[in-house]
Amino acid sequence: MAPAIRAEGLTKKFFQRGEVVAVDHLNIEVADGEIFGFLGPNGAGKTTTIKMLLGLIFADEGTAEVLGYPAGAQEMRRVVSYLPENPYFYDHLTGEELLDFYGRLFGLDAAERGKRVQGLMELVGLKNDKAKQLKQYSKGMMQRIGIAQALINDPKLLIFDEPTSGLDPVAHIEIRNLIESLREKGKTIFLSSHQLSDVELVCDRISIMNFGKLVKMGRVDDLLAEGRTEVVAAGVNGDLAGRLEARGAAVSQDNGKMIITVESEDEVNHVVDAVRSANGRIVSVVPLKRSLEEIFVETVGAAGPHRRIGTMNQLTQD
Amino acid sequence: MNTWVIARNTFGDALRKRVLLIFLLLAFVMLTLALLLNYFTAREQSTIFKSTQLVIILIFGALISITTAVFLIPNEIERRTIYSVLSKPIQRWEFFLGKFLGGALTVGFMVGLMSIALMLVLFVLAAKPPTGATVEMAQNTAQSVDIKGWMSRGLNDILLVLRGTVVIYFQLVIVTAIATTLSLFLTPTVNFSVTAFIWIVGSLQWLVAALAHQNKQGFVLIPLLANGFYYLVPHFHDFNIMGSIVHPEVPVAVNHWAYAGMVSVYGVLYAGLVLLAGTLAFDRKEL
Repeated sequence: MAPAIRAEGLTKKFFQRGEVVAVDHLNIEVADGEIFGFLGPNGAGKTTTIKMLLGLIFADEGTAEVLGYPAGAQEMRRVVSYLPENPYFYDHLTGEELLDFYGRLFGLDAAERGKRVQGLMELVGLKNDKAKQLKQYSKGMMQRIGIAQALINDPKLLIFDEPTSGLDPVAHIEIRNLIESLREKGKTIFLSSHQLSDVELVCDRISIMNFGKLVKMGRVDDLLAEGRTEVVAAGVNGDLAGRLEARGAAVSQDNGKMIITVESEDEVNHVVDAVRSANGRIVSVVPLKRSLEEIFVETVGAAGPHRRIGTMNQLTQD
Repeated sequence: MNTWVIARNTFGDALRKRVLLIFLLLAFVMLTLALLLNYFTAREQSTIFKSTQLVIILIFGALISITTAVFLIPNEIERRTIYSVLSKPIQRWEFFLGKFLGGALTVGFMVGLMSIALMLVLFVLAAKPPTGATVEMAQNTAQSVDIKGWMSRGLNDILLVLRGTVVIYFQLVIVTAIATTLSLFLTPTVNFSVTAFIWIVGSLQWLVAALAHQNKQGFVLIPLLANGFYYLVPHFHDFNIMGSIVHPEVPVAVNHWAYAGMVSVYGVLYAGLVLLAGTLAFDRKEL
């Protein structure tokens, strides 16, 4: 099956007081039916990439295909939906009128529009607010109506840019659940978000961008597991701790048990052998899962200097 | 189809703009104030009233059309509503023309309202006796006014205003097209000034033509610039049919309605060319 999104060497440059490469030879492939997390610090090039995929701006180099169509093609836009970051809609319309407006742009007939509008208002929990003008909607309600408009065409691929930004915890969980329910319906979701806990929970794969470049991509489970392992041993004789530390393991003692933390799988085997040869007993071997936040900070930090928020000390010193 | 969906939405959005409603209100205040011109003879009053009112409609119509058009597309980009619309299966030219059409509908609605108000007032004023009568005489004879004559004069005035409104409207269609297209390149403030300048220069084409054909001694640049303006800037001066409306009794060689039709067609063609350029520019605009 063709991938939902395929970009090869996608590049975008802007000219603002010199050339800025917003997206630099991006190669990316999103499989059909998966939830793909698209991460990166502010200014990494995420929104620029999304705009190129939708044909809102044009690539300087490279190609991109969405659901087998060239990026931005009108046929593509029939089966794709987009929820922009901090969406703002025509606030003179009511929620119901807004969905009807977007339904018309898809050429849906009146009966079909009516059916879909009612169904979506119910799906996003705005059934009782459908006759209110959008200017009376809260931020959470705007986000919900944004999701509803993105579903009006029953799309195959949804591109969400920060769908949970600024929501209260309850609305946040509801939107996250909605995204998961869309996966169950076989939709592909391209999710750009700073809410790493959400991404960790709902995404199958992620990519991390920094300074316009793709710096990491992989399955969430693999990336989270890609880390240290903790071996707990008891009854160890001799100077085992010193020998393991010499090989780079971190060793500590707790209630007579030795806790050994190693960085690779090969080292785990070596530690297990060493414990046994020292007449020790293996209590447990536990892979230490990392959080996505740790991976993100590590990846973005390793890729080079980036914008950081200073400390209060710096402020007072300045 | 999509163009009409965008136009309808733009019209609904524009009607809620406070600044346009303020312009409309001011125009009505000016129209009402012109009714106080009661120290002239009935004939003079009617003449001055009609010309003043049509000028008021033209000026406020121009203000409304420029103010509406300069924000049509920049507001969509600034509020980011354009992203959720253009990510739907709509062609960029449909969006661009829809925005223009929505703006033109708004201007038409506003000019229409002002013009209906003027027609009503003129119809009421037509109850006064015709030429030569003083205000005092008119008041004395008001009771014995001939209904048939009133209706005939009233209808005549309404048709005159209708003709004037049609011509004013098509002039404003060009202004709206220019401002909408320039909004792709200029900020609203700069666009407002540039479009207003074009409208003023176009309304003074007789002066521009004179400058273009003046003796080329001295500054060569002036005739050169004037020639450029003459051929590039729309001939808004040709839309000035005030004379034939204010003095319908003066015989002229051309049929008034045929002339109004001709300048309206010119308006549509010129606006069409400007919109074609705008559509091509918008097609490759980065959003």
